[in-house]
Amino acid sequence: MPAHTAHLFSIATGSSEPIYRQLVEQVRRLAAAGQLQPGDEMPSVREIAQALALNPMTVSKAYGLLEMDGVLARRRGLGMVVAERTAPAPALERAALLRPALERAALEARQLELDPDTVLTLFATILKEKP
Amino acid sequence: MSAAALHDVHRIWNVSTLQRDPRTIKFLNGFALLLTAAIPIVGGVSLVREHTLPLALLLRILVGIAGFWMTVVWVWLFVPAAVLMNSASNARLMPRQRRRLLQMAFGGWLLVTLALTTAFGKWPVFPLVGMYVLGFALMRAGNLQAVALTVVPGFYPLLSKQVLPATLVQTLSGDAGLLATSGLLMAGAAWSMSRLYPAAGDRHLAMRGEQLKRMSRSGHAGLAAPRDSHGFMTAPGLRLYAAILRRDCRVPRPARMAMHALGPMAHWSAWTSTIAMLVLLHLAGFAFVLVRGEAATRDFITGFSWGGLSGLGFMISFGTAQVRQQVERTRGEQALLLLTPLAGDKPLLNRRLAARMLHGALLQWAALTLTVVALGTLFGGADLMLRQFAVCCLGGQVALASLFGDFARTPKLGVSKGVLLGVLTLAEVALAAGLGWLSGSLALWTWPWLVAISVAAAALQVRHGWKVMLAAPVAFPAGRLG
Amino acid sequence: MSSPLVQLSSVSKHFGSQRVLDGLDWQVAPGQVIGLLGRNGAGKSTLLECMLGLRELDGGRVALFGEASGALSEQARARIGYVPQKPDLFDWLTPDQMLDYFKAMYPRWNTAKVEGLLSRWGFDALMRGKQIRKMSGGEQQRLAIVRALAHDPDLLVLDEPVSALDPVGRREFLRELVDDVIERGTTVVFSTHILSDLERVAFDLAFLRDGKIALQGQTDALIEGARRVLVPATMLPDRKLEGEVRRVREGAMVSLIVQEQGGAVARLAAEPGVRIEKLSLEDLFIEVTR
Repeated sequence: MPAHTAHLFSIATGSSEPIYRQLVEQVRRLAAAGQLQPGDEMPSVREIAQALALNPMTVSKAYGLLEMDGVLARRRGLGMVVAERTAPAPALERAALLRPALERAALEARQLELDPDTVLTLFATILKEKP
Repeated sequence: MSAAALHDVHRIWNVSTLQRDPRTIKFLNGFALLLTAAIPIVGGVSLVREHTLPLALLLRILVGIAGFWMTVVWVWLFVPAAVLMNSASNARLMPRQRRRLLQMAFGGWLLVTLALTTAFGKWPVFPLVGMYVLGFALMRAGNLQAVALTVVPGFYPLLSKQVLPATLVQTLSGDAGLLATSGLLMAGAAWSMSRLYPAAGDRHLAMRGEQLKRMSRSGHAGLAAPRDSHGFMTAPGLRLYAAILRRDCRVPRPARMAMHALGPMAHWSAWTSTIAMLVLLHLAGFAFVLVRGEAATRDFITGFSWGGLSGLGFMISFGTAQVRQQVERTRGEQALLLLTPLAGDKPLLNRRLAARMLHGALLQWAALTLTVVALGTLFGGADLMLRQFAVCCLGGQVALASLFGDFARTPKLGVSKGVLLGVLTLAEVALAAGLGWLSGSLALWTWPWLVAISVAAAALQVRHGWKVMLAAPVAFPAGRLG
Repeated sequence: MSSPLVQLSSVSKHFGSQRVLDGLDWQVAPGQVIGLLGRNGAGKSTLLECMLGLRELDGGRVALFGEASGALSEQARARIGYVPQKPDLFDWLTPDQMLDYFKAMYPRWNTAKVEGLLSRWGFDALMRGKQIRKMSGGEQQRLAIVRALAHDPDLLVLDEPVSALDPVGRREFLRELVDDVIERGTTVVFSTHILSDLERVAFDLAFLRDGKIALQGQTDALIEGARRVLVPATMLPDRKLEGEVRRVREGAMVSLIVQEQGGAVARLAAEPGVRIEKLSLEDLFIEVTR
C-alpha cells in the first residue's frame, strides 16, 4: 500500500473554484484514473495543510466531503484511505467527472438559445468523430 | 544683477524662508523691532550724559540688529531649505536653481558677516565672525564637526599669543594680512557651499541619503529624512547602551523599559562619548598650558569662556531636543511597548516617562556641568568656575523647558517654539546683566544673578511641564491626536 | 456559541472631517482565521489600531477578551501578538537584543519556538548579532513575526505582514502560520492585499468599505457564490435582490454582482438572454470595495 504525499495535489488560487472543491475534484479524478488505488493511505490533513500552506479546516472540509461521497474512508490508526469501490460503478463515477464540462456546455447552449434536441444531436456527432 | 536674476533670488528666498515658516519670520520681525528701541535709548542716554549724538554707534546698532535678523533667517531657515531644494534630480534638471542657491548662500554669508563686523566696529574681526557664522551654517546643515569653526575664533587670543609664531601674527594683523585672511576665508566659504550644494551626478546621489540623515540629526527633520535612530552615537557609546539594556532586561522595570522604546539617542548614555572627548580635549589643553606658563593660562581662559560657550550651550540644549525628536520618530516601537504586559496601565505611563526623562536630563546636565566646572576651576579658579556654572545653568534651563509636553498631540518641538526659547535665553541674560549692573558690578554680579534666574525659570518650567504631561492623554503612541 | 474574542460595536473614528470608521460593527470568534480586505486608505490599519487600543475612538466600544481595549489588563495584553505594517521597528538593536527586550516584558516566552523559528528562517549566529536596520525588508518582516509569536498569543493581529516578502518568503510564512498558529487554535486577524494568501489560509473574509464592514462570510462560500449576472434591463426588478452587491447599467444590459445565488437570482439565471459569469476573489474584491 503506497503512502501518498501531499505533492499529489496542486491548487490554484485566483480561480472561481474554491480550494476545497479543487481538492475534492483532484481526488475524484485520481481515484477514477487509477492513480489512487483502494486501500492507499492518503496524506494527513496536517501534512497537506503544511505542504500547500492551506488552512487545515479547508482540507478537513474536502476530506469530509470525500468521505461522505464514499471516495475516501477513515481507518482507525491509518487516517484517511482510499475507499473500496462499493456503491457507484466506475463508469458512473467517471461520468460524474464530466458533469462540470457538460454544465458549462449546457449554459452556453441556453445562452445561444438552442433547444435540447439540437444540442444532444450535436454531442452525439462529436462523440462519433475520430479524434 | 539682472532683473531676471533678482526675480529668481526673490522667488527662492520666498520658498525657502518666508513661505516655509511665516510664524518664525513674523516673530523675528517683532523681536528685531523691539531691539531697535535700543537706538533711541542709547542715543538718549548719550545726549543726557555727554551732550552728543553718537551717530556712528547708533548706525552700528541698527546694522547689528539687521545683521542679527539676517543671521537667524539665513542660518536657521535658508541653508537647510536650500539643501533640501538641491536634490540630485533638481541639480541636474535645474542647474540655474543650483547656481542661484550657491550665489545666495555665499552672498548671504558675506552679507551677514559684513553686517556683524560693522556692528562690532573693528575690521580685524571679519575673519573671526565669518568663521563663526560659517560654522553655524554648516552645523545647521548637519555637519556637526563644524563646531570646531565656532570654537576656534573664541580661542584666537590664545592662539595669537601662544601658539602661532609672533611674526605670523604680526603679518596677519596688518592690512595686507587681513585682506589675505579674509580672502582665504571667502574662498573657504565658497568651497564649503559648493560641497553643501553639490552638482548632480553619481557622487551627489551617493551622498544624498547621508546628507539628509545628518541634517535630520541637527533637528531639521525634513520629510525626505531617512530613518536614523542612533544618529551621532559612536560605537563605544552604543556598547554602553547595549550593556545598560542588558541590565534592564535582567531586572525589568516598566519606566526604564518604556524609555528604551525611544532608542539610544534618547538615553543619557548618548552623551558619554561626547563628554569623554570634551574632558580629553581640555586635559590636553591643560597640559599645553602648564608647559607654556602663566600668560598662556589667562588667554586660554578667555578663549575658553568665549569659544567654549557656544559649544557648551549647544550641547546641553541639544540633548533634550533629541529626546523629543525620538518620541516623534518611534511611534511604531511605542505601540508595541503599549501592548506588552509590563508596560503597565496607561494612566501610569506619563508619570513614569516624565520621571525618567527628568532623570536623564538632570543626569546629562550634571555630568556636563561637573565636567565643565571642574575644568574651569582647574584653569581659572573661582571666577571662571562661576561663569561656566552660570552658562551651564542657562543651558540646562533651556533643555528642561523643552522636555515635557503633551506627546500624544505634539511630539515634536516646533521651530517657532525653539526660536522662542532662544529669545527667552537672551532675555534672561539681559535681565541678569541688568540686575548685575544694578547690584554694583556688571562683571561680578551678572553670573550669580544668571544662575538664580535660570534655576528659578527652570523650576517653574519643569513644574508647569510636569503638570501638562500628567494631565495629557497617554503619551504613546505619540502624535496620534491631531 | 462561545463569546466573541473581539467585539467592535458602532466604532467611529475620524481624522478631521474624514470619517475613516463609521459606526462599524464587527466580531471575531475564538479560533477564527479572518482576512480583512479593503482598498488602500480604506482604514484597515486604523481599524486594527483601534481594535488594539492604540487609538482613541470617537464613538463606540471595542472589547478584547471581554475587556475594553483602551484599558487592557496585563493578562489580556500577554495574550495578544501584533505585527504592525512597519517591519523595521527597533532597528538599532540586533535580533538577540530585541528578543531579549520583549522577553523581559512578557510572563510567558516560548524560547524553544523562537529558536526553532530563527534557525528555520535562516537567522544564524552572524545574523542574530547584526543590527536590524542592516537587514533586508524580508528578514525584518520575518523577525517581526517571530517576535509576535514568541509568547504564544491567543490572538494574532497582522497588518500587511508579508508586503516585503517575495513569493517564497510568503509561502514559508503561510506554512508557519498554518503549522504554529492555526493548528494551535489561535485567533488570527490578517489584513493584506495579497488575495491568494487569504484564499489559502483565511477561512473567513471581511471587506471594509466606507468605514463599515460591507461584506463578511466564509471564503469558500464567497468564492463559490460570487457571480456576475448580465441581465437585460427590462427583466430586472427595481428593488435590490437577495445577495446582491451592486448593479451597473451598461446600455441595454445591467451587470449585477451577487455574492450568492439567492432565490430571485437563480430564477433570473434560468431565463434566456441572461448570462452568468463566475467571479474570482479578485473580481469580487474589486466589485465589493468600489
